[in-house]
Amino acid sequence: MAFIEVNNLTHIYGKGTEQEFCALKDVSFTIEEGEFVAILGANGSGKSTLARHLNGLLQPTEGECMINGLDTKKPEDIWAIRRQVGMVFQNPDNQLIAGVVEDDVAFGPENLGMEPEKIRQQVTEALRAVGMEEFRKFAPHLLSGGQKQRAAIAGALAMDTRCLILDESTAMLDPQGRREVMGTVEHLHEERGLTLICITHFMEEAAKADKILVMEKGQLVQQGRPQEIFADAPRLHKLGLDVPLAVELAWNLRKDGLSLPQDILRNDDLVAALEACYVH
Amino acid sequence: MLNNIMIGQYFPGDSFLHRMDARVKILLLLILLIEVFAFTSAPVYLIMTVLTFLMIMISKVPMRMVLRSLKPLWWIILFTFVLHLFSHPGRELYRIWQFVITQEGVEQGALISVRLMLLIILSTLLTFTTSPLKLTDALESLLSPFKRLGLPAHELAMMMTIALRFIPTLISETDKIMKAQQSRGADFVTGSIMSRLKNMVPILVPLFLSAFRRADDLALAMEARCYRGGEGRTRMKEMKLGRLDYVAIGVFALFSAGLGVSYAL
Repeated sequence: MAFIEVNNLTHIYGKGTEQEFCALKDVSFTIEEGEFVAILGANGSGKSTLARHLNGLLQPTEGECMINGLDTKKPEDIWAIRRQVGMVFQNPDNQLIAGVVEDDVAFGPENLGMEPEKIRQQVTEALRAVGMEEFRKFAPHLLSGGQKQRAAIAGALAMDTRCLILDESTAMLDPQGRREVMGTVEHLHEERGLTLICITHFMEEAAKADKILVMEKGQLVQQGRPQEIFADAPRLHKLGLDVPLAVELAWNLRKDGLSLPQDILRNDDLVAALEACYVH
Repeated sequence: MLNNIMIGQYFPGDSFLHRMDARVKILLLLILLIEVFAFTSAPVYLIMTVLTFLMIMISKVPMRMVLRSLKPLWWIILFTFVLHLFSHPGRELYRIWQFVITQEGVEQGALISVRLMLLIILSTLLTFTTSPLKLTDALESLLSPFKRLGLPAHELAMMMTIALRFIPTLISETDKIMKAQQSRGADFVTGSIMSRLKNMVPILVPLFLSAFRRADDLALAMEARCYRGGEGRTRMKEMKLGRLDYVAIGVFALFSAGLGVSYAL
């Protein structure tokens, strides 16, 4: 059984009203425990709606969404699901609840009714995992964007989350903050086998994933390894998406007759391939 | 301009008063304030004043900062004093046209002024030595017995927590909106009061819009982190009465008893 199983998921906002809007149409996929999945798609393609189904913030209109064998439709399972699937949102200012970092990280465990001693332990561990121990007593408004997002990640970790959804969590950050946040979650993914689901517009982030899902107008139009997805650059351009710089450059070089391997994703890959071309 | 605002007026420290349980502090303060009202006499007020200065010294909050909290109320104190000067019949001291200053008036005026200052300084001392967060927690705990009567103690405390968290965020946002409007020619500094008030509208509308959007986001984030109201919720920072608190309560009880007895005599 896969960790996340989405079967024929359809979601309609405002069903039965005049503003009825079908945000997701017959979407099916699975995500294994410990996988790193990126979800791509233009604005309004249903990425965030999809993400909100994965921890029961939204319920499917049709179809089902199973998290570790639990159904998001069952109200009695919802807290167990939210505990396992943590979420980090886009705006770093709007998701920290308390006026001090450690109190904010403790918010989740407090809601779960953990013992005070256990909560302190969880908070310390979570802050250490994201490298924010020294900011324990800080007020959120004194932190940088990247630090705020790391505090939000710690908030999820303190609940013993097994899967982290980043809903465009790096979109409002500067390059430094983006590196901080991605570095932190990649580290957690490698060290702890944390399942990562990353909604993003930054193709360099998506290129590091094990699997990419491409959304368009509420439908899942393509899924596969990054190499497969990025192989068809013009198709992605048509969907309003970019490809990583190295992929784009390799694609253009190939068009001009240079024989480069198909699986170039990162700058390093391209440099190695070009060296191989010219040294031999 | 709006950057250096202080919420409440917490003065971080590690004194006896800082370490006391916030609930005990609030309750003792309440009783002390009632005593100030109940025992109106010069000797009691003298003792109270000495006690207050003693507490300021214990708290290690600079005297200047404490006295500064009286600043906005000087006029009210002065006004009360003057009012009392003329409004008590008794031995005439001085006469200005029809108004008579009496001995009793001076005494009463002085007493009431001291009472006002005591009230203000004592309450300020609470906010100086207790962080807003601890105050909120203490209020929730103190109000929780009234839950059965339908008082939403947890919700009130949560609202305060969120308000405290978002005040700096909203202030910096106001700053940003003001600059954005000024850069498009809005004028907030000149003109009559009415026109200046009218010019505030282009600040308030976007500010409220964004506050509502923030509230939406925050509600979602809270739900994602398993928030479901106060039921079954625990706290990381438990409030526990320590030896310090019992000592404080004991000392306070003795002090009050002494005051009561001496006042009765």
